[in-house]
Amino acid sequence: MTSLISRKMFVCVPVLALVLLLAPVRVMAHKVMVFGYVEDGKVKTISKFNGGKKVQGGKIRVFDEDGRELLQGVTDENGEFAFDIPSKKGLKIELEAAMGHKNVSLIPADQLVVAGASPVGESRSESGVEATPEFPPVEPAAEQNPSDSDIRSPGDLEVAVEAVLDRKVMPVLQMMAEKEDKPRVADILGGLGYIVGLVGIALYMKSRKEG
Amino acid sequence: MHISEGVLRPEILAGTAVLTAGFVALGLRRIEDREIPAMGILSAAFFVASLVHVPAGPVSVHLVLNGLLGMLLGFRAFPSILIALFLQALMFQFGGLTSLGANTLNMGLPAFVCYLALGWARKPETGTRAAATAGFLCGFLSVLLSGLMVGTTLALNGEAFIPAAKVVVIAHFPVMVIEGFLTSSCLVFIKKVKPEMLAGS
Repeated sequence: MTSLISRKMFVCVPVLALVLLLAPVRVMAHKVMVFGYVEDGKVKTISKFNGGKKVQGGKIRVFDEDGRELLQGVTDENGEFAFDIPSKKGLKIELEAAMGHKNVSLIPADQLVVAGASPVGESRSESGVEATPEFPPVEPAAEQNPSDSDIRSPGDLEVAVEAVLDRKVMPVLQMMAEKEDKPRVADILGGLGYIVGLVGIALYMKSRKEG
Repeated sequence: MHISEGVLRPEILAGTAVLTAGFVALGLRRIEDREIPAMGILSAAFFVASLVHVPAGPVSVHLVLNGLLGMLLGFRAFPSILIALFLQALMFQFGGLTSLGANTLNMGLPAFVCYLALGWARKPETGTRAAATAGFLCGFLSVLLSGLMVGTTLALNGEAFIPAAKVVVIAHFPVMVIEGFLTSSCLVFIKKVKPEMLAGS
């Protein structure tokens, strides 16, 4: 029995190794992501395949909190699609890319109220639906540069602080989002472990039936 | 190639689930001990295959390996593919749990059909060149047929068939070629090194 299994290992391990070697260094999950955020009074969306490829010509549908469809659109060659804020209530942005890929991005209502000048809101992802937000690089609007702007009131200060915070926090959020995308080694080993376990259980049950 | 959660209509999910259940039951009949480790190893290979990303223009595709499983496992490929897809959905959220029936059918049925058409190459009497050709065809056609089936599934769901199928099939063309060679070399190798693995089934 042991020689049977090790012989098969001898055959299939090099096969697996060959298969993995053919891959480019970056190994990807097979998902699509959409990220929606508020900027300059508009809602902007960016859609990407996992691994960075932009989704061109992807179908975007926007729903409000009650599930009513508000508008539709198509992503351009940068994977982007922007629209004016259609409703003060929370938005659900749904992306459908080619070959049956789908994903969702939620923008809560409090992000849709523009505080001061163009804050960059972040969208929460809904657990259970595979929404993994990808964050764009932050470009603060010109008038928010803290060293140039005239801080005349607490409101101005708030805007300036928000801009700086967004700039600092964005890279961290981006890193976190990207971490979630890649299949973790632990998950891969877990899946393989389950298969080995199933093989063991199947063989055990068969031997009990015969024994 | 995997259809995500929430894309397909319930009727399609139910119908494909029933068909898949039937094929999986067929694949589990009268299993012999010696077949189980092979199923496990190939299921593991299939599971990992989706991590191998093949560049294909504007979309992203990955290896499927259904042809390999079809040629080496015959109708046992169905349960192996089901398990691998289930774990992929669970561990990496590839495809979906409700669309498991549809995905298993789309990837398993072509493997099975190619096995029926080309499985004669497994026999010890078959020469190396014939086996290599049959292996290539099996790997190539399995991915091609899977692409057509995904297009059909999406068409039944409401999309126009020709554009949907075109995207999937064209995007997977490099995968078809790679898997043709892979299946071919695997088959030839196993025939030389362990022909008993291909007996029966």
